[in-house]
Amino acid sequence: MSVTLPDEQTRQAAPPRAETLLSVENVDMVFGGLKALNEVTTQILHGQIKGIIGPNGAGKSTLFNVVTGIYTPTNGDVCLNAESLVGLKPNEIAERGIARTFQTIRLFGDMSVLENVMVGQHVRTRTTFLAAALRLPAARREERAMRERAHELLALCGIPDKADTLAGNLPFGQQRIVEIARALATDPKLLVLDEPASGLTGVERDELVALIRRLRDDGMTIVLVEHDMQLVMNLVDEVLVLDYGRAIAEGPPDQIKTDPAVIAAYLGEDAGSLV
Amino acid sequence: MANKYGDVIGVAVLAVAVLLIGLFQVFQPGGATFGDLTGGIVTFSTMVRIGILTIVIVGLNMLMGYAGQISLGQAAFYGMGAYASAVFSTRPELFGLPESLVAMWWWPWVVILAAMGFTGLFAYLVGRPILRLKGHYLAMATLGLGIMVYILFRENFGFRTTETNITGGYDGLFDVPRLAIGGFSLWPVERYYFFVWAIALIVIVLAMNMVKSRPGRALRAIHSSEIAAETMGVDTASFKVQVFVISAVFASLAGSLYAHFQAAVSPAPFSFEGSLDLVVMAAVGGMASVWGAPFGVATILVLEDLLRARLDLIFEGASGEIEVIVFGGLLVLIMIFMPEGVFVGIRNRINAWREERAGAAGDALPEQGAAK
Repeated sequence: MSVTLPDEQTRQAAPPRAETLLSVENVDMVFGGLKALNEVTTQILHGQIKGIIGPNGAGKSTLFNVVTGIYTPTNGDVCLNAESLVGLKPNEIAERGIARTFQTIRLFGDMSVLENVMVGQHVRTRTTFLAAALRLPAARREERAMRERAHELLALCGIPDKADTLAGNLPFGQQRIVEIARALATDPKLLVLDEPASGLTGVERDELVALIRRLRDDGMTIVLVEHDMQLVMNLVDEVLVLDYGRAIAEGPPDQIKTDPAVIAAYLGEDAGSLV
Repeated sequence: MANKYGDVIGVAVLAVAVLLIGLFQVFQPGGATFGDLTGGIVTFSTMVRIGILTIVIVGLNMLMGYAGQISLGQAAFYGMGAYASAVFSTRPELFGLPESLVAMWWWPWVVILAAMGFTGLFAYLVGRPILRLKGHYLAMATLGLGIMVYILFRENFGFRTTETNITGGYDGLFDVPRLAIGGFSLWPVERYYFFVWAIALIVIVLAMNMVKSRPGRALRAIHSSEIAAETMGVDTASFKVQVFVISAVFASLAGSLYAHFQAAVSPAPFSFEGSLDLVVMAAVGGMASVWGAPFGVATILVLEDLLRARLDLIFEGASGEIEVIVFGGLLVLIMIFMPEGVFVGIRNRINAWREERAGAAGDALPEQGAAK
C-alpha cells in the first residue's frame, strides 16, 4: 500500500489514530459566494457506522460529493488510509475504496439487476475491448467469476431472485438495495449511503437496517446521511451534525441528543422530537 | 430475457441467408439471377453494399446505441478508409513510396490495415477533446468534423489540382484495383460478396462479444448515468474515446472495402448527408442492438432501390425529389410507430406476445415462470 505522509503541521494538529479510515481535515467548499462547507473536520474509524445529520442545505450531500470526488474541495484535505484523495476523479476514488449510493437513485435502469452489480465490479476487473472481442480465456474466466460474485452479492442483500429483472422495473425500495449491492461490488473499504431510507416503506426500512447491520458485522465501514432520526440514532456509532456548512457537534447518539448546540441549531426549542 | 444462445442462432441464421443469396447468384437456378428474383428491383450489388455498410453501422451502434454518444460525422471515417485505399493503392509515389507497390497483390491489404490504424489514431486525437462535450454539443462538434473532412476530400486538401492531385476533387479517383489474395482475385462480384459478408459477420461477432462483456456494460452504464458510472469506477472519458476509436476503425475498414468495390471514390458519399444516412440506418435498425445493424442497412437500401424502381407507378413521371420525400415520410412513420427501431421494435413485440402466451399457459404450467 502506498502511503503519503501528511505534512508535519497536520500531524500535530490532529494526530491520526491508527484505526482512522477516512479523515476529513478543514475542508471548505465554496460555490460562488456560498460556503457550503466551512472547515469541516471529522474522522471515520475502521468498522464504524457514522451518521451525518443536519437541516436541509447544511452541506451533508456536499460533503459526500467532496469525499467521492464529484467536487474538489476549495481548501482542506480528504484522506483514505492517510492517502490524500483531493484532485482524484470519482473513478479513481472508487478504485481506492470508496463506494456510494445516491439520494436520487441512479441505477442503470435498462440493465438487469445482475448487470448493474457487475458494473460495480468494473473497477476490480481487467477485461479490455480486445480481450472481450476475441473471447480470450482470461476474459471468459473473469466474466464467469464476475457473474458468480454478483449473484453472491445479491444473495447477501436479500434479493437473489431479482438478478434478471430490469433494474428500472423494481419497486423503489429494492432499487435502493440494488444500489447498495452495486456499491458493495466495487469491494469498498468505505460505503457511503446518501439518504438510504428516504421514500422507503416501514418493511423496506427494516430490511435496510438489517442489511446495514449485517454489513457492519462483516466489518464494513459505513457513513450515511439520513433524515430519519430514529433510524440514525438506533443504527450508528457516532453522529456528526452539520449546520450551515459547519460541524457543530460530533459524538455518540446519546450525547448528541442532549447537546445544547444541536438542539438549538438543528431542532429549535423542541428537544422532544429528537427521539 | 433473450435466449442464452439467441446471438449464436442469429449469427447462424444471418450466415445461412447470406450463403443462400450468394449461392443463388452463383448457380442461377433456372437461369435467374438474384436481381431477377426481386423483379430486377434489388440488385446483387445492393447486397454487397448492405454488407459493407453493416460494418459501419455496427460501430456506430456501439457508439450511439450502447455508449449514448452521438456522431454526425461518421462518414468522415468511412471516407478516410475509402480515400486512403484509393490513393495509396493507385499512386503510392505521391507520398514518396515506390511506384512498384501497385503491382503487389498484398499492397492494398497493407493500405487497408494502415488506414484503419491511422483513422483510429485520428479518432483518438479528435475524440479526446470533443467527447468531453455532451448531447447537442457533441452532435455539433462531430458534425463540424465530418464537414471539415469532407471539404478536405472535395478540395484536394487545398492543393491546386493541376499541381498535386491527391483526392481528385469533385471527380474523385478511378481505377482502384480489385483485391486479391496471391493470384486469387476477389472479383467478380460474387466472390467479393462472400468476402465482404465474411468480414461483416466477423465484425458482428466481435462487436457482440464486446457489448456483452465488462467494457460493453461500462458503455451502457455511461449511456444510462455518466455520474453513476464514474462513481462506480468506470473511467468514462477513456471508455468513450475507446468506443469512438473502435467505431472509426470499423468505418475505415468499410470505407476501404467500398473503394475496392466501386473501383472509384468521389466525395459525395462522405458528406454530411452521408453521415445522416448512416445515423438513419442505425436508428431504423435499432440503436442498442448489434443485430439492428444489418437489418437497418438492408431496410434503407432495399427501400431506396424499391422507390427508385417503382415510384413512377404511383406518381406519373416521379423523379429523384419525390423519392426523397416518400423516403422521408416512411422514416417519419417508422420513428412514430417504432422509435426503438424496426428490428428492435419487431423483436420486442414478438417477445411481448410470447410472454403473453406463456402467461396464459402459465396457469397450467406453474413451473415455467421459475425457469425464466
